[in-house]
Amino acid sequence: MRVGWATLCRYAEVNDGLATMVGAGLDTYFVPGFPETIQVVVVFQLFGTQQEMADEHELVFRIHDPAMNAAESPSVTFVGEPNPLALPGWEASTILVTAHVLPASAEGAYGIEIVVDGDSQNTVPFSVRGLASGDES
Amino acid sequence: MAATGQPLILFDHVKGTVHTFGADPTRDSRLLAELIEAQRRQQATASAQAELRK
Repeated sequence: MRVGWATLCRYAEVNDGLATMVGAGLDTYFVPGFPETIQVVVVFQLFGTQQEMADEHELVFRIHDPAMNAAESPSVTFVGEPNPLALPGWEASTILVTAHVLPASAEGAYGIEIVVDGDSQNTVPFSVRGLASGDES
Repeated sequence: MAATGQPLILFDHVKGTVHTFGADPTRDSRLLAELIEAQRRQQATASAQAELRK
């Protein structure tokens, strides 16, 4: 399976296979001070064969902090759904919405890496800044 | 159009836990309330930052 796209947002839900997102493309989080806990919503679309969709898969995230440390989340398994409307040769896909409670120990660049079945698929970068520390977002 | 979609999955990297919504309504409600409150605080901080930039 492969990740076709991934983005951060404030809110997302999936109905009938279609995602509705608020604040998609978010890449900066402001916090009152450090250390702080932040909440990050990651939405991504997985593509695979019809058979792959019917199989069980393992999902893990690695969080990269400004000191280049990586911490791995617990794993979770999921099963996709074959696409009932897929034409011959088409890939099936499924959209996943995941929420993350993360420790932010320092200001700087972070990344959230999506790992499916042990393969790194995508890393979404974001920054965490202290209040009034920067003038762009 | 893709398949129907997956339930929301919450990864708490501070506690080292993962929760898939849909299986435990009581826990779902409590965790959802925490998520909404955290989102509200984050939005308030972002708004304060925007005010400071004016």
